[in-house]
Amino acid sequence: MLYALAEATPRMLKTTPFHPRTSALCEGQNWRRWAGYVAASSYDLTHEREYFAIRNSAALLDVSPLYKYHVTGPDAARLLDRVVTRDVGRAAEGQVLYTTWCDGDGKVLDDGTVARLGDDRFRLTAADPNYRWLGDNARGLAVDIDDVSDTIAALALQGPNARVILEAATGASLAALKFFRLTTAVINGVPVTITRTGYTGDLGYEIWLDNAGALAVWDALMAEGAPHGIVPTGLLALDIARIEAGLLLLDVDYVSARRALIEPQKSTPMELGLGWSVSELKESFNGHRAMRAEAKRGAEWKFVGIEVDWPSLEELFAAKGLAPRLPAQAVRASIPLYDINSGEQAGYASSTCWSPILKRYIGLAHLQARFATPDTRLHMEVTVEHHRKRALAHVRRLPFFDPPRKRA
Amino acid sequence: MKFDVLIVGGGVNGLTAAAYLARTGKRVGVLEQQKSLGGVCVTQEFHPGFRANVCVDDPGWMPAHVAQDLNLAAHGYTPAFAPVGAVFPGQSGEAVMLPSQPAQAVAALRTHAPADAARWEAFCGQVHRLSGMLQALYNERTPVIGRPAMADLMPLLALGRRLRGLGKRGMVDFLRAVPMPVADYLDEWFESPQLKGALAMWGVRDVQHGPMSGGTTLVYLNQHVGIPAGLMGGRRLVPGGVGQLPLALAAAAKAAGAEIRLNAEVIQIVTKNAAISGVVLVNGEQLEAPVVMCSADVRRTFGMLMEPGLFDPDFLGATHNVRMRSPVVRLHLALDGLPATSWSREALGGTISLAGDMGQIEQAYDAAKHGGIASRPCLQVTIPSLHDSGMAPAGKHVMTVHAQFAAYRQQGGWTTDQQRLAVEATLQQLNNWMPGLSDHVLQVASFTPADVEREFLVTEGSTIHGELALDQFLFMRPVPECARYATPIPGLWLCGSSVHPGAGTACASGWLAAREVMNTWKKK
Amino acid sequence: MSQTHRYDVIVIGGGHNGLVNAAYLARAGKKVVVLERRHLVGGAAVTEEIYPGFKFSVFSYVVSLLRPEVIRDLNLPGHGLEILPLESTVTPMFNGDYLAGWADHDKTRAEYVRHSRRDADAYDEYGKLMHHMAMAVKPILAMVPPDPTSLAPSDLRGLLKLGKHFADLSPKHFHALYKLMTMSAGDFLDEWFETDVIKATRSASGIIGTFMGPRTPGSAYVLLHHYMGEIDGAFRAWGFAKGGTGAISESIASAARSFGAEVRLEAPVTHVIVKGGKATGVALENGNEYHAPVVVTSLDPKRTFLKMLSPSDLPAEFVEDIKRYKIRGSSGKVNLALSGLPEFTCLPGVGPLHRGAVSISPSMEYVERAYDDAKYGNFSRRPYADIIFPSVIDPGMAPPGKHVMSAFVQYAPSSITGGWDATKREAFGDAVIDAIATFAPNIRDLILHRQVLTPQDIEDITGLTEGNIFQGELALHQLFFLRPAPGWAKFRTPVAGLYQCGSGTHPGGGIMGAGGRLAALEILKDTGSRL
Ligand SMILES: Cc1cc2nc3c(=O)[nH]c(=O)nc-3n(C[C@H](O)[C@H](O)[C@H](O)COP(=O)(O)OP(=O)(O)OC[C@H]3O[C@@H](n4cnc5c(N)ncnc54)[C@H](O)[C@@H]3O)c2cc1C
Repeated sequence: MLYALAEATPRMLKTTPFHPRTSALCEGQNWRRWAGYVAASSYDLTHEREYFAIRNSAALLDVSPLYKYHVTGPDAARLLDRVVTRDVGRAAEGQVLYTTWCDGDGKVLDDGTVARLGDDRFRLTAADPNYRWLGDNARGLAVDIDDVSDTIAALALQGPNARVILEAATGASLAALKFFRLTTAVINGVPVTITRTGYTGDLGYEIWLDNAGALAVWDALMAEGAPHGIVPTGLLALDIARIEAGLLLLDVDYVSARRALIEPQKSTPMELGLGWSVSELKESFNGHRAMRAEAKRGAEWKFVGIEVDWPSLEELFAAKGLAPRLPAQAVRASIPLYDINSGEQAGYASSTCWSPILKRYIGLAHLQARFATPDTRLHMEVTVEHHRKRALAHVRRLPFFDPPRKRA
Repeated sequence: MKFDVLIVGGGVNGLTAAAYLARTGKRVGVLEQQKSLGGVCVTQEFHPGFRANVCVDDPGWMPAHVAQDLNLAAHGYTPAFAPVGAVFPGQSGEAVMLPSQPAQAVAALRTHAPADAARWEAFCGQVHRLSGMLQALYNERTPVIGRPAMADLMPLLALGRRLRGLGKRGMVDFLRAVPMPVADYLDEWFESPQLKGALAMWGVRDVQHGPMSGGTTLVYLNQHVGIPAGLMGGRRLVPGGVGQLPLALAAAAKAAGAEIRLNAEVIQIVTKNAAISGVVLVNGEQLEAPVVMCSADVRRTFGMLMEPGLFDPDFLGATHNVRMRSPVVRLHLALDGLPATSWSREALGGTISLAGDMGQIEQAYDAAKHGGIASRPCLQVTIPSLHDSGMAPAGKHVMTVHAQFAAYRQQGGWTTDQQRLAVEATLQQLNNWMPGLSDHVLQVASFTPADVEREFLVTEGSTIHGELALDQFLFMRPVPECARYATPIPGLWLCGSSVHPGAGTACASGWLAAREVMNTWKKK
Repeated sequence: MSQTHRYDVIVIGGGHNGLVNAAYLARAGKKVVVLERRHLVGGAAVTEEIYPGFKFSVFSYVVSLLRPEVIRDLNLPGHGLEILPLESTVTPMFNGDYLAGWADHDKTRAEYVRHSRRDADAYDEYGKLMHHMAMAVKPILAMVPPDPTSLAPSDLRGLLKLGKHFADLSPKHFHALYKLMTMSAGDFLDEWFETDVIKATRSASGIIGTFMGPRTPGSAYVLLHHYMGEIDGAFRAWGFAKGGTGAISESIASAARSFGAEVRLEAPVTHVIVKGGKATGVALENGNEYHAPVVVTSLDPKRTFLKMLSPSDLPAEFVEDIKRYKIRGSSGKVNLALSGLPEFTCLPGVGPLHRGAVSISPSMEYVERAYDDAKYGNFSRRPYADIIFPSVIDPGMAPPGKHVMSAFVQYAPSSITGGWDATKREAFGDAVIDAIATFAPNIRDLILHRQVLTPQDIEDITGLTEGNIFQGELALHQLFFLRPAPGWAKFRTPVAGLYQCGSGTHPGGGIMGAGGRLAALEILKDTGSRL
């Protein structure tokens, strides 16, 4: 019958192809939404073990909800070069680029990676939907854009033991696979693409495959990973790791120009500390005029690390007879930062957390340029027993955590 | 080869710009893809000895000084207004004529519709005042850009109001009339269905809208810019045909030193370091110039002639969204004579509106709206040979029929079957009006929107380079970013009918664009 | 024996605007009487038990435009107002599929992706643009429209304020707003979406209450008019008043009474008494007279100025303007008492779709052709309908287990060829049921009672001329400083002491209360009183 076209009861939210495994493991039923999918916040009742897996052994994350696009055809590189700020045409086959992309005014729309799968085959990953934007940019070009968000599954295997596990699972050596390069392999009979990328600032890989092979790959990695301490890991642990690594997050650390309601909500790549990703060689791409003008002028805002001075925090809590208390999870709320002398607002922290490995209270912050020099002393707002106080904080260079194994 | 300015397109606007710029001593080149000049403002022989105004019956209003500045009369352009405006069949098929003398028109209407006769002069007065307001706006580049604010628009309207001597009420009439459906507007004045039908055709001319569509009163007023008060539906008669205008402009441009090339289709406008560097011709030849003025329509310019990567995709999207969609099929009939008819020669010399009542026009529009061809098209008929013996061999005649509505976007495209359908429906209507006409037809030349697109390289056959509608008017025409002729690419200017005032005016866009370019030179 | 009564203010008509007006004036200490023709208040916003146990929001059926300041100023929740959310819109399609917009963003996006990935992306950006547009227009709703052709200082001040407001818009937003004011809904949506059914369903809000099709320039503004309620924070989108829309009117009446206003039912006014160019009161059908230095009419402009005043009381030009004012009715209503809920073949069973609206707008062509019929003086053979099931949201509307269904229908032209009669009414009702049955075949078996309202019926019952739901079309040449007539958009009239406050004034129709409130503020200004 014709009306079989429609689902009788419209489904609520999407689940990833790993769901049969992840749902069985998610002890606290602690889920959150990610791009229209349900994703595990943490599998254990607390996320601590998952966090330490990232830094000490290996963490396995289901990152399938990422938006993914295959861009193919003779003009594929031209299209991407129109869209993103980095130089895609000059990327080698097998190379992966982290990049931002902007609107015509040079304001950031999104960030993600471009993997050159072949001469005229690319995969773009994104935090937001970009299908229409790519299409609008493809006017007059011979290129196909395929939204593979729902058909390509993705896992991140992150942590010091990631390589041994992956080598065991693929039966191949990954010693030659350099940071931000890709290779292909087979896991448990399933062809996969492996990129040496991640969102943790640690040694790590991301594994891309067709949905159909999802469970086979998951099972193989879990089995091979068991002796190496693999831990299925959720988004709460990831959030802390990425703050330590100084990696920004759309909708938390910046607002897409597409969704910003007012101009001040928008950012340029330079303002997000991503000026380095804006190609100086490409002649024209979206927003290049504005970005080049800004490069000459200098950005008004900077994106930096911020570290709260512990003794100052202790003092504030001690005044109430308490020891410092910090939220266990990363905080995704905007916290004002003030000039230590005048008291005027210098900027705001957009992500903050207690770093379990560094034993520091750190954050990612937007500061007006004149306050952004490393080691500048600022005040950060903290709430102590229902009262707003200001603790001493220092501007820091990003990333906070950068182990040699990440690139080695 | 190096030029100071290259002008893409040898239509009236391109040639006007060329003439003005060449007068400053710059080296100016005009590149026309056709073998003759004029773009859609052209008169061509379509049958041995028979010449027709292919796409337009009237070159349209032009700023008064252009003819003087460029000495157009001396170069052979000598238009005069037709003594009779609209003519239409009354209840029993008799000709009801609307001559320019209001007293005569009132007399003609008195037998047809006495109540309407009484209102005629007041109506003509209002149309003249309101279209005069448009004329005031058309003499200058469009207001409001960059800082788009009602606050800027209002003083301008106030200026117009002062200029035209419109009172407070006249101003209200203007603001109220412009967005109205022409059907509502005419209903406020008249009763006769035939009269309203005949007039309403000027409210939908060249646009895919019926008289019940908002904004068609703007189209009506636009059609009457520069037309003497009282000459409703009047047109300019040009000895030699409308094609005399581009010839005169070309002569003026050449006299000022411009170089004009025919059969020179530009296939790309090229940039270097994101600024204009020249053009590439279809034969591969490259011409250099730091300034290119493009009189092609906006969709062609940005959609086909330029590298898309140069533009913000939102801008390209906006240019792509400009509505063109010509709903017009034009027929030119070579006649070995006119059949016997009760209509006087004077009546036949007007612009004959065969539209029926406004409901019939609306129905014809419905067909196009749904992607088809009107089975009963609405016609505006002219017989240029009655005024100009040069248009046809002695004793013979040329009849031009402007028929609406047929969708540019035919489901399945414009096939020969489709074309036949449109032509037959039109001939049928003609024959109903003038039985026996078909016996006199020697030849029929027809132009569908697809033909016009192919031959004259105007998107969707739109001879006015973009539907005239409130959202494609003034600072919105063709898109806000180029409403004052400059474009996002330094050195590239628009100068065709896609830009203010465009849409049925002659030379105005070309002149205003040239003036902008000259101003930049002055600044340097 | 005729009696006379003296008041500070007489309000003609107890529709929601008249009641709002009365409440504000009473709150300011005026002695106010509202004279309502019918046996209940509300006008086009009434709930009536048409069949025993079945309560219908007879005319208007959903609410989103009601001004939040009215709700707050009059404390309407304190007088019983409760607005429940309408969760979704489902459009059944001819191929058996459907298009849904759900309350949840992710769910709606997933649904759009099913139809077009491109449109799913566009949907977010479109929503953002409309948000901005509504923000841009919102202040205008709460402002007395200045006259741009006037050089009076107060108008210039108003214009300046307006100019400043627009100058604060970014160029992009200004241009988008300009487009919305002038384009057809169809053309505007073409720039955003590629999926026909998405455009059809969205453009439907551009035709509600207007004699325009989705391809008629001007309809995009009506789209915006209907978007306005979504940004105020009071309601996110369309809602349903508990107890039907009559409950809104009742709550306003209750507020008005609490401030001391009198509301007299079954008190039809025949004319306004004018003495020496000043309104001094009104006369009722029964001969009674009410006197007051201020008379406020909430009726539509044609009814007020052409029926309740003699032409000699008014300037000839003004009378002409009112005659020219377009008030073509285009909508009808079919209210059903049902023994159960109809099953839509696209989503079989009883499900979430019954908690929201069902839109019979399967394609652009369908809606446009529905309009084509009306243009030539017929009701649509295959009409557009906006359907809700109030009893699912508020079980009190029908006996247990039974249901009421409300279908707002276009087009039903008031000027149907030959005029409306009982046969045409039933034929129109049949066409509506046929259109719904195309997608929910079992509906025929469930109908216990059917109330069909043509524009003629709407006029006869509510007094809305030609049954126009907005007291005059929301066409560009009838908005803002031109509503209802040039020079008379500030709630005053050429007759001193006579004011207007209905939907025929700025900012126009719908259950908004804006006209009632703004008129009250102007009256207080003129009488030198304070709020
Ligand atoms: C079928 C229909 C559906 C609608 N749907 C919606 C909807 O879903 N949502 C929405 O927001 N809007 C809707 N509307 C529009 C909205 O209901 C009206 O715009 C609004 O209710 C008008 O309110 P008002 O107070 O201005 O005028 P009215 O409600 O017309 O009030 C005028 C009052 O005056 C009374 N009256 C008339 N003549 C006399 C007289 N001689 N003497 C005394 N009293 C008199 C009438 O009985 C009436 O009570 C709909 C309208 C209709 C008709």
